[in-house]
Amino acid sequence: MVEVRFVSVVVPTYNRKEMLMECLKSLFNQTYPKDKYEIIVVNDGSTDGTEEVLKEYAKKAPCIFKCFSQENKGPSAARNLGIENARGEIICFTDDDCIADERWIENLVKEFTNERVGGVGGEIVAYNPKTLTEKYGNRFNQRERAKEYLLTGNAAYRKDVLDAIGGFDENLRSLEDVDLGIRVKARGYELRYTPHAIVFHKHYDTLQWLMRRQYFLGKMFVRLSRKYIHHFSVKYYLIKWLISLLGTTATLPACIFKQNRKEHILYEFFSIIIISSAIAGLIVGSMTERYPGKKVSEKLDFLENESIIQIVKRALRRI
Amino acid sequence: MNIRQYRYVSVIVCTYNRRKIFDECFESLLNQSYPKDKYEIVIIDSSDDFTDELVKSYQEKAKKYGIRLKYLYQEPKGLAAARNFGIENAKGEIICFTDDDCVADRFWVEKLVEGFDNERVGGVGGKILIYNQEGLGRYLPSVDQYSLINDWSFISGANMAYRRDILEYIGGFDPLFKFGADDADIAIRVRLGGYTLKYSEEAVIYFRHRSNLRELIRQQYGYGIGFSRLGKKYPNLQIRKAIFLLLIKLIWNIATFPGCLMKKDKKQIVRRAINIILVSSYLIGVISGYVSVKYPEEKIIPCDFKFFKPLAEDFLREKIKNKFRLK
Repeated sequence: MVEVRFVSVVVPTYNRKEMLMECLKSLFNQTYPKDKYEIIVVNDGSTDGTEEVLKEYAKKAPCIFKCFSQENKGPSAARNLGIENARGEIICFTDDDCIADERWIENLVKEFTNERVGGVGGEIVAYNPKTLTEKYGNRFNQRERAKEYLLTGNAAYRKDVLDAIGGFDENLRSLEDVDLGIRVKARGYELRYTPHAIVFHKHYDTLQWLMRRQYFLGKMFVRLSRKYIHHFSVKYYLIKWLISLLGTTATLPACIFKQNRKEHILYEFFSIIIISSAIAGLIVGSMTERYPGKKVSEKLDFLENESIIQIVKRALRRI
Repeated sequence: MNIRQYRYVSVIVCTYNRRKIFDECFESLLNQSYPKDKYEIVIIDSSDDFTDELVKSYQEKAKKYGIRLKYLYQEPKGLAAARNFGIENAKGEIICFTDDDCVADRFWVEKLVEGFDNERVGGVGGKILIYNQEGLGRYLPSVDQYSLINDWSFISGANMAYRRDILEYIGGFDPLFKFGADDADIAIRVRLGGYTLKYSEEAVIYFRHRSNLRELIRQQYGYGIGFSRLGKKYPNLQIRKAIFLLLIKLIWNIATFPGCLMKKDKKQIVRRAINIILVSSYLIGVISGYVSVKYPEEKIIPCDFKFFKPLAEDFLREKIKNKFRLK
């Protein structure tokens, strides 16, 4: 028999009372042994009465349930507070707008098969999509990203690895998952993907929200590139994204001849919106953003970029 | 023959009070082209006449062929629970399922296993043909597995195979589905993990319809209830839309019924009449399930149904267009 490892689930929350309740319900209803996991909710300075909800749910909890509060400092700081107070060997992260499948913890933990695995990510599936933005505007594809980093909506890391690298970077308000992925990989651990650990995520439901989010990501990307001196060059990514924007716009008319053209066109259309708002964020960010923390000047060989010529060639081939 | 790596396969059959028909099914499973030491048969028997002597007689038969047989008894708890019990006791890498009233083709196991040719294939289903039979069964169409897999994206339980590791990850069949739709439920959950389903033309199962009308109606009613339970489990399945579509189908069938009375072919008339009866009993099943069935709230899965084509608008529009173009 394999011994059952103790797991901590860390959920940061900010002003999302309704979704948090559903999230907690799904976390209480896991197939993993109830005495072998704990739930840690970190209240990131909510103002909508989240604390009362948490008090109420603390009574109902079938497993260990801890709550912490802090001033509003962003999700990375909230997660770090959670990590400090966790006692599990493995720490699973999910968000307050996610609902976990009942076998989520079990299947994530199963994937930590050897010493070299530092983190495991699972599949993120749309939760009750109704609007068009929810259906076509999401790009939460964990499978493609898992080589580089794991989205924190559905990820698990080993506690000792997190302690060694010092948790999330609190200077980044977003894209902290990319940063963490890089630092875990720099230590020589590998990241894995399992399709069986499923989390249902409530995607951005209005176009405005989606655009604002992408704009914000673009800005944060600049901050990330300021942190890594040798990587994530802003100019390079600006050109790369512009090329992909041109490529998608150029191939948009060709979608008319495809079989389910409605889906294709909508998907491409949302791609254009996402990329262009990210580019806007990138341009604005390059003028305003600055990274206040300690910079990284190492060269990391697993972050090899394609050259611009290769990207152009690929785009041409697509057309 | 070149040297091929045969994967170990388990064939699971669940039987309930159908001794005579089942013997034929069992014989066909013993007589497969797949290497005898590379597959096992797991039978979950829930019949009333189960005895130890019976087990012995089955074991002897299997011994003659040199095939490993596990013959187990489980109290009747429904098909899904029996299949789960079978999975627990099977040790194959790939698990094939069939029903006790079916007869397998000689190449069935071999062709199903060939379908698992890449990493992303989670499940394979084969062709279902009608076994020669008397009575009403002659007038009924066969199950069109191709459209089930490609449009509805599920595999009929009479002829399906899944990878064992996936079944273990998702926790096997849902025992709340006692009759009907347990195969649809498992297919949806396999698809959630990003795996695809595949149709294999050459893996053939011969399938019997129930021979009297009462049984048939009861079966369709059961399927209807199963479908609405599926709708309760997956709230995005749009069960109301499905009811509406079924109603349209029923009205269409009734409205065009007088037209086929004019035709010379008397078989057509019987066929249409039976079709109307069965669709309406299915519809009654769906509606009564929609009203009465409750599904535990914490087990509801709120996923999207992109791969469920027939309820998507585009697909329907095409279909309706085609129908009118032919007339």
